[in-house]
Amino acid sequence: MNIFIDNKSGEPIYSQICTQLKNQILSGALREDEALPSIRNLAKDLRISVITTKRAYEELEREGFLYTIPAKGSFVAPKNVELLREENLKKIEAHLGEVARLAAACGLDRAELIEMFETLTEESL
Amino acid sequence: MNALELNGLCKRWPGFSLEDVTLALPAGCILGLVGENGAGKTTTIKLILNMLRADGGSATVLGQDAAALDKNDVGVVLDEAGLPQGLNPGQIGRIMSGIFRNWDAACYARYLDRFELPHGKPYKAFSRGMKMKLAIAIALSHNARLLVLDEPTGGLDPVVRDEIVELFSEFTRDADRAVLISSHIVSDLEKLCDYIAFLHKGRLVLFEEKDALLERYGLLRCDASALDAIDPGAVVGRRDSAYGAEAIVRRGAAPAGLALSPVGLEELFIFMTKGAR
Amino acid sequence: MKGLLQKEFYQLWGWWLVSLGIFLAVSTLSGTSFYAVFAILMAGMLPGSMLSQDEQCRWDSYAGALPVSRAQLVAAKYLIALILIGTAWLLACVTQAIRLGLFTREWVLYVTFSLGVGLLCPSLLLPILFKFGSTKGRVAYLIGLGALFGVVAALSVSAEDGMAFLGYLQAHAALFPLVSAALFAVSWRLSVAFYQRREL
Repeated sequence: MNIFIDNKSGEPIYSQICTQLKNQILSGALREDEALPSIRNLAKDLRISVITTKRAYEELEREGFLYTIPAKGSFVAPKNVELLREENLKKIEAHLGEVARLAAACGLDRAELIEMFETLTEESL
Repeated sequence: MNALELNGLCKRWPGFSLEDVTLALPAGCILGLVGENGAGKTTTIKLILNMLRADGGSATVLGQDAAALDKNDVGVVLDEAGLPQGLNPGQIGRIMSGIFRNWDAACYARYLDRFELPHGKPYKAFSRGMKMKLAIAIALSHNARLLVLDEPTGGLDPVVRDEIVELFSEFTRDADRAVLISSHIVSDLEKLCDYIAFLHKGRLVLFEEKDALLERYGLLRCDASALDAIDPGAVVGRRDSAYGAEAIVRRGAAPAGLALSPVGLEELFIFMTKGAR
Repeated sequence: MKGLLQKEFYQLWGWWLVSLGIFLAVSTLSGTSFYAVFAILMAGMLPGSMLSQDEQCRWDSYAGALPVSRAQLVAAKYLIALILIGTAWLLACVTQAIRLGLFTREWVLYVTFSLGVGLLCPSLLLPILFKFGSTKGRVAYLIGLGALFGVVAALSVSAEDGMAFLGYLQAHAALFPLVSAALFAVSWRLSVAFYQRREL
């Protein structure tokens, strides 16, 4: 399992961990019920604070990506179709927001934008 | 359980006083104590170790009052290490085995080899870095549950410091142990600590989770007028030059158009100290 | 505790054995008992100078962070004093027995007096050093050194002189070491009380 922390990016470290673990879970790199490293071991191996890894795991558990068994550790939650869709919808929204911003910056209006999208999706189908 | 709890700790001397220091270090965590020379870091550490009597407040260490603490459980490195001059590490090891209940001679010998400290060379011939390494070897060789370290990396080059900081981090892989470290070398603390406490002129200015602290603030570079427009309560400190201004600002308080760069611990403290003056 | 005594030994033993050897050789060869008594007195001074050394290298601070009590730190110095004075005294008794004859009046007097005087020195100096530290106590240290040097000079006897003096004191000879021992014990208690109040 690879996790890369960028101290200089400005993105909170716990958030970077969450994103990377989520991606690996969704892509299948981490399988269902696979054991995740303990909060403490993850922190020590990544050379970051234990408080941060704990926060990342808590968030992932809250969002349904992992589950914890007391005294045993944390494990990848079974893939939830809803969850997958939810994540992908979030990503699409984020990308669309970026598209809208860029379009505004170069003066592209909505009609032109939709035309562009239709051309693109026609090609890929 | 908390490895360390300080409640309103005070110590008064003519010319300096430490007032109302309150913080808690949970087991399994590392607390970094930062502050300028004379801020009260060593005083705080000595109060924790019952080397000084408090004038007010309390210190609870490993669940017991500091005065009742069993120092077999505490590994200590003090600034200006304090070992007898004419003795060599071998002799010092034998002395320590007659002092600590859980002295681990094999562990000590391993650290001496790892730090390349000659067993037979007298302490007075050691460089400052070697003296620190010996004190660290002793602190790590008696199965302590709490490390209390006062400037333990002074005199060490960056490579060795990184190695030693790694050792301290490994110490708390076990959730029952904890570390309190005071240092000027803020970059070491930034790598290592879970919590940061900032002492300034005998007062505790700040006690926070390190990552939360660094997430909360950003470095803003803009022109002076834009900076003036921001709520002064959100500005930690500022530096004006002929080419503009820079300041450390709470994220969310800066106006939307201005980008904040991530701030490091050292910058944060320099700005905070200068701002406080 | 054992570790503390070991520390004192490591720091002292080589130097102490050599000094003892020199003093006793010199005293056997010379006509007076001065040098042997001086060895005993020096033995009594050594714990004080060890305390001073401890302060200089900041061991006293460091020891405050170790699992040893203030009482144990004080005990280490007093026990060392007893061991050093004891060894010097025994060897001096043996060499003076050669010179003065075993169980002669002079010898008995010498034996009791030197022990009494030897114990006196640390009893007086150590509590001062434990209370005030060696920098401030140094003045007392030097005064004590000077005073006792004078006492030794006054007490040292050659075979002919002071027979009458000896005769007078012999009646009270046994008391002196007992008084000194009592003072030593009191001094020990006092030092513990002082040191427990000290801030490091």
